[in-house]
Amino acid sequence: MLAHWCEWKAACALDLCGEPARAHLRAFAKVRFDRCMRRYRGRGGFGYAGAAAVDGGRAWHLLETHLVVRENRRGKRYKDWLFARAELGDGNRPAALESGASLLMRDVVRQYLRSECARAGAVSLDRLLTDTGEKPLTWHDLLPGSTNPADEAAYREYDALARQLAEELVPAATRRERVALLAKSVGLSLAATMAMKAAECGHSALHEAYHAFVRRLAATIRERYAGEDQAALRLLCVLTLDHAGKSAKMCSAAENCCSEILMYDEGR
Amino acid sequence: MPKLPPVEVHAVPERTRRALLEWLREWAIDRALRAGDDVGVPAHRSGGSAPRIRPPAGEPDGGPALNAAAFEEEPAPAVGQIRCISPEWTAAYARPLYVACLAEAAPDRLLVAPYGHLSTPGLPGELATGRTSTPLRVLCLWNACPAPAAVLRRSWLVDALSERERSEALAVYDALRGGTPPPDDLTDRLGPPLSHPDDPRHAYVRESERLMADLAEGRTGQSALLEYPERREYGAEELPRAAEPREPYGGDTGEDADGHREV
Repeated sequence: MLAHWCEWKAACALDLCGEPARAHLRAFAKVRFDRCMRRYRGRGGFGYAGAAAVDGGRAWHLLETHLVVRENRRGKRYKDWLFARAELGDGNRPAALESGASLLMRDVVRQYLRSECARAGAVSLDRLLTDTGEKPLTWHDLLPGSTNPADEAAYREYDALARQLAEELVPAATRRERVALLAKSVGLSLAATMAMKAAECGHSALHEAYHAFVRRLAATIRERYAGEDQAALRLLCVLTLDHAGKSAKMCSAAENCCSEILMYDEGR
Repeated sequence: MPKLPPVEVHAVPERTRRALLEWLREWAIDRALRAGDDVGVPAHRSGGSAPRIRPPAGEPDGGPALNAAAFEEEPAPAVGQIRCISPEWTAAYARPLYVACLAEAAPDRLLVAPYGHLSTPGLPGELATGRTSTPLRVLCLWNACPAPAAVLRRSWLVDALSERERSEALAVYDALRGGTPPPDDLTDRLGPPLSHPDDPRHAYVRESERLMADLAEGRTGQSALLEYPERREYGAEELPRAAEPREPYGGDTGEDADGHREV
């Protein structure tokens, strides 16, 4: 078996090797590639469903192309690395070569998964980061905030203003608007059955109601604070909308129609 | 007309969000694939029964483990080269480790920066090189260290840095050391800021630092270059408050009279 590895090292690529070496190394690549994919799937790997099956020839081709820096001998120094690493072992060179190649294959599979499936746009920012301590942490939590922490006092003032505005606007909102705000605040889609049932309308009408409330809220803020910086107005809008969800929850507690949504929230 | 209190609001650029998401996605895949895998850990580090590696040259009880002939035909290490480090060192045992030789650091030492194993810059000190070759896509300048020539002589020459690549890398390196913003034309190629104390990138920083420690004699595992303030293990009561002032990164920048870059 060692001869097959040596033959591959001497040749430029596996396709230039004899049939026994080709068959052996392709079979090796297939087994290791599939093992990595199974491990990824076993760890609940997102996007795995998008991964197509890869045969031994393709798996080996991915390995050869993954590590090439340039199309010359110097660009393929990973072969020297692999064989030098095998020299460091306990004398079982074929096993040491396979061990090194398995490490390379792991990187190959990572690149394959990164480029072929689990695209960034398909990953929810609300996805939990695992093993990060006591409190749940989402990917979204890691994104930098939009305010300077040194402005904490001013930020508290904005928050108080936002709460006042929400407490003023939400009781005057329509029932559909309140249901839409409540559903959004508990993380429900407006197309969820319990949201549509509570609002007694379809999801299109519920979306319209939500947008109508947001437009009214923005207009109110613009009118009251005319001439203020756009970024400050935007911040106040976002905070008010956040508080509007909480206000809607308080208002809805008295309305039977929203009990299902509130129970859903408690059960989360 | 009521007035709003002045507040500094800066929208997070979409590029930053996307860059972090890209890195996290690749990191999550990497973690899943490495889970429970110790095949890349040399025996003298793990205490296991994997093949033993003798310590590299310069360490008290051992000489080089590989025959010198393996590197005999290699050109001498020099500034402007990209080299693949021998697997004799722990840093290069689990994967081929490529480093860029950026400058002379001291007599018989070169300032080298490792290329990252992920394809997306994950930190403000990581630069997307623009190369298409997977192993050379991200240069980790925050983890640069002065490597002894003895280590670099036991490596393979892989490619050369263009003058532009080298000057860009040094510009980022100098900005990190001086605590100044990086050049405007490079900001889009750097990784997203690190702010959350539970960010998995802190673990990534620690792991990467440990690996590079082997390449710089005398280092204790701490980066000589860059301190991410939240990287330390804090108790809950010790966590720094958001508005507390932070110590600036690094110290003075510059070269001595012999043209050696201070590191």
